[in-house]
Amino acid sequence: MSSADFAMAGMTDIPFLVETVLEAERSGTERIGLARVFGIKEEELPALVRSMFLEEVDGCEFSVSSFRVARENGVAIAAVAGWIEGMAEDGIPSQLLRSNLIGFTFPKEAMAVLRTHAKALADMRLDRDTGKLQIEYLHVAPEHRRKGLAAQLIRLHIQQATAAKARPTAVQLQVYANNLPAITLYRSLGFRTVKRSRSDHPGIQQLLPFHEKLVMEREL
Amino acid sequence: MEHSAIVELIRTTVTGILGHGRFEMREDLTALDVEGWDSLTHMSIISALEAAFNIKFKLREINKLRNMGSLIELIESKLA
Repeated sequence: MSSADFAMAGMTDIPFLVETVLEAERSGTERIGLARVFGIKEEELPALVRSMFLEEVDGCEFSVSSFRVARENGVAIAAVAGWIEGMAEDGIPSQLLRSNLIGFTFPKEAMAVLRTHAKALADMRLDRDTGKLQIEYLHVAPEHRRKGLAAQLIRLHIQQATAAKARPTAVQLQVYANNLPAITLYRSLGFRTVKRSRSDHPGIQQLLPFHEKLVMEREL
Repeated sequence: MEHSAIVELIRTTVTGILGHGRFEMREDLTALDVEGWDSLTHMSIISALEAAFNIKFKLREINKLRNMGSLIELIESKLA
């Protein structure tokens, strides 16, 4: 076990949250979907992700307020986002909040690049269920892995959500089907695969870490 | 720009991005009601509307959009 402290993320954690987004988007591969889909250079992405966090929009995976972090000696070493779908910003789906943030922050040319990939990406779409707790963007610094930090962060999100007035009926997450370490962790926490999406478009392998995604869920 | 012209330009812009016009321009229409209006096309629709009306949305404004009625109202207020 680790001697880490657990807390809600704050603005000082943004550098680690940016690292979290990038590593989660990479999903153990060389492809960062968020960069490739929009034709953004990987070295430009950290500043753009940072800008999205600085907008302080609540209720999606680019919200500082969604993240819990583990810190050791005051330094963030693990993070994961969690929010109840549709409970922020007038009930707007988190995917539209995310889209608005990207559209507002990324260069205009990125939207034109996105349109060229629309067909390849269409079959990968997975919706999030309103009212369910969403877990997204999990990352543990490599030297702090295998200490139970990820599991503890997810448990804390669940604990907080089940104490909320609008208690969610389930917790769900999306994961690339080839990310076996993550899938093994989620299974050990009681998650089961309930949906999947897959794209057989030839271009998909160049855009995303994998061509198949799972929705895993656990009842609460 | 008149209300009816604004509504029509929104309709043609959205139709152009989605590649179909199978939706009614009702005030209570939401993205979830329209086939193909997902998180990806949403970005293109917002960007295309800015170009079509020569306006710039603020992030706070688009995060408050609940339905077609509030989109029309927002565009009208920006053109006023």
